[in-house]
Order: sequence, then structure tokens, then C-alpha cells
Amino acid sequence: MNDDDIHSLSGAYAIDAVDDAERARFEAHLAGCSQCQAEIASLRAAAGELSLTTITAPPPSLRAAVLRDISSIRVLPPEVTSEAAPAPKLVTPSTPSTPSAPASLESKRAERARRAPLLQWLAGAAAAAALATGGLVWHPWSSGTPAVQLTATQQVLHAKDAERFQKKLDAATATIVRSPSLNKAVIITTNLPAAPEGKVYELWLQQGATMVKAGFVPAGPSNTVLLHGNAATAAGAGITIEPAGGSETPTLPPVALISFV
Amino acid sequence: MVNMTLVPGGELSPVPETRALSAGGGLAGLLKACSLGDETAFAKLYDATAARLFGLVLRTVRDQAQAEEVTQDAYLDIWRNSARFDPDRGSATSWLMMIGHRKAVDRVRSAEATRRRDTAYEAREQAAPFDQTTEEAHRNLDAQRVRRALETLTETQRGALELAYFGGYTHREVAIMMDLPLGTAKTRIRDGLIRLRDTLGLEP
Repeated sequence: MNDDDIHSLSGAYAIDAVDDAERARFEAHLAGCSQCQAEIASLRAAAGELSLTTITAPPPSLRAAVLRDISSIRVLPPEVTSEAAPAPKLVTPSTPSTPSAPASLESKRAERARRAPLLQWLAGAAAAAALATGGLVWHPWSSGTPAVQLTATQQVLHAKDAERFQKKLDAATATIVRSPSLNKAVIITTNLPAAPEGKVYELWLQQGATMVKAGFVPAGPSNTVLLHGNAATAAGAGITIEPAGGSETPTLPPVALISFV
Repeated sequence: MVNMTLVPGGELSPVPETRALSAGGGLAGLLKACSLGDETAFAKLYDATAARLFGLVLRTVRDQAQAEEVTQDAYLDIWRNSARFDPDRGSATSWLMMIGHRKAVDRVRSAEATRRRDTAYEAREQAAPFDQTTEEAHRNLDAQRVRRALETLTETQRGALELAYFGGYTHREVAIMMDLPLGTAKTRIRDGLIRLRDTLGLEP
């Protein structure tokens, strides 16, 4: 994707109408493009105005629940740029997943996860064998992070607790870098052959016994994609070939499975 | 809609909620207070914005119970990240709605929501997007202003923007749903947002 193409993605990016591969690529571009940063801010402001057309009062019980819950939540520190900074400045305000969300929300999510269909394709012995490999823990950056704007992807790659899991697939490699503290993971692929016509490579995170879709990775000599979803709680990641547009649950045998444990 | 709304920095008065919001600067001040742990300021922030954020989330996830859950989640994130709001990078309203929107989109795209997703149904439902609003919103002057601005968009721009923003679909999905050539939907979305921005007189 050249710069012209990536720039034309600004509107879709501003309103979250991109897939994870595009988001990662656009954020890499955004970090160094002040023109796009300004455009994104103005387009988000315009999009935010659309909510004026859908105003609906929430029930009073919601207010009570929210006010009750915040009293037990610590406000995160501001982003600082000293060498000791734990959190590099984000290009866009993040809406992180909420590992510390209140118990009520978490338990509801867990309940839904239990009701979800079990992942059949993990049950096989071959899958189990695949999961038994990998698990190399790697801390690539132990010193302080530089005080520059980092994309979410870069933050994961630079995280102090970054763990690295690698898998070879014939000529291709898939490397997952996961930061439990950031609750995010990035996949770096090399030499991934083109998917069959009308098919895409879809990413998955294994949450308990369920595979939860985590985005897409394009074919090509080298790609880096931020996985969608809660990486910290995942037991592993998978890649499958799915029909274009992706699937809600894996429908075809995995290309690769990478265990985090 | 007319609520008894606590205007940021003002007093309790019957004002349209969005009029209170258009004061704008007050929300940034409330966020600043939140970042210092001020729960009273957060309650004011909630009162001034909840109907707008909840309405947006509900429009996207469509399910009342899920919309409440997502809205709660969004406000907890807003509280948690209040120290990271940077007024130099956009308005408080824009930041709040972005968080709510992202949460809603995450929800509809997650596997949990699969059973509620029916592309054909959605596409039909979305055919007359901006006619589905509440009577309250119709009465609201700000809603009318936005609605008029939307009318300046081409049909394709408006349809693509609607599917992407309220429907939570990616531009690639929008292209398929609207029978547009791949790569066209993202351009329509961008062009539509730019026209909306310029018509509403927002700073580029």
C-alpha cells in the first residue's frame, strides 16, 4: 500500500471502519504524518456530531452503576515523556480493553465465553502437538523507552515485558510478540504465501477453550499486525484461512497455532 | 430532549442537553477534575454526556442490555484515562464519543455478537438511516443542524458513512454491501466526513 492509498484511509480509520491490519498500517503512517493527524482529529470531531441525531437517555440504574464502579478504579497517570516514562504517548487516545473492569462486567463476559461453542479444531492430537511447541520468552528491550510517539504496535514491540513466540511454516515464519501489561499482541509474518483466491488469513486468540477472532494478516514478504482483543488472558494464537471478510469462528484447519504457555 | 441538566460550571437548569454540551469547554474542565480523582466532577460529566454516548452505542449495538454494558464500560475507561485526555488533540466531546464508538464497534465485531448479526437484515435496515431517530432528537436543534448537513452529502457518501459509523462495518464490508468497487467505500466515507465537517463549520 503506497502513501496515497494509506492517506485515503483516513476517513475509515477515523471512525473505526478499518480492519486490524489496516489500523496497524495506518497508525505506522500516522506517527510521522502531521497532516493526517490533523485530518483525523477534524474528521473525528465531525463524526462525533452524528451522535446528536441518536440521543437516547440511559436508565438511571446505569448512572448508579457507573458511579459506584469508578470509586474502585484508579485513574491512570498522565502520559509523561521523561526517561522513566512507562507509557509512551499514543498518537490517538486509546480505548484499552479493560482487564481491570468491574467483576460484574467480567463475569458476564466469562459467562458468554462459556456458552460459546467449544473450539473443535483444538481437540485433535495434531493441534495439541502444535501447541506444545514455542513458548520462548524474550525481553528485547530492557532499558527505558524513548520519548517519542509510538503506535500501539510499536509499544508492544518495545514493552519491557514483551514475550516472543515464533513458529516456522515451511518458508514462512510467524512471530507473536505479546505484552501482558499492555494486554496486546503483535504478529510479524515473513514470506507468507498468497492465500487462495477469495480467502484471507484470519488471526485468532484462544480465550479458554474458545477461539476469538483477532484480525487479519495479509500475505507478503513481511507484515506486522496488531492483534485485536485481550492478549494477556489468551492461552495462544492461531492463523486460519477463511473466506474473504473473515469468519466469526474458525471454519478451516489452522495454518499455525502458537501457544503462550 | 429537555432535561434537568447540570450545566458544567453552571447551575441546575432546564436546558436541552446538547445545548449544555455545546458550551464545550466545561467538559474539558470536568475531565481535568476527574483526572485528580474528583468523583463529583465525573457525575457531572456523565450527566452532561450520557444520553449522547448511550444513544450512539445503542444505535450501533441495537440491544438495550448490551448497550448499557458497553456504555458502562466506556465511562469506566473515560474515568480511568481522564488524565490522558489532551485538549490539544481534539475536543472533549469528540474524545468521549470516540471511546464510546470504539467500544460499540468492538462489541458488534466480537464473536459474542455473532448471533445478532445478519448482513442482509442490516443492509435493509440501514437503507433509510437517518429516519430512525427519536422524536426527541427531531426536536433538537443540534440534531436538525447535523441532519441538514448530512443532506449535503451525496447518497453514496451518506450511505457509506452511515453503515460504517452507526453500523460498525469496515469500509471493505460497506463496499460489498453497497455494491461499490473495492477501495471506493473508504473514499466515500472520507469525502462524506470532510463535507460534513466543512458544512458544520468545524476546523479542518
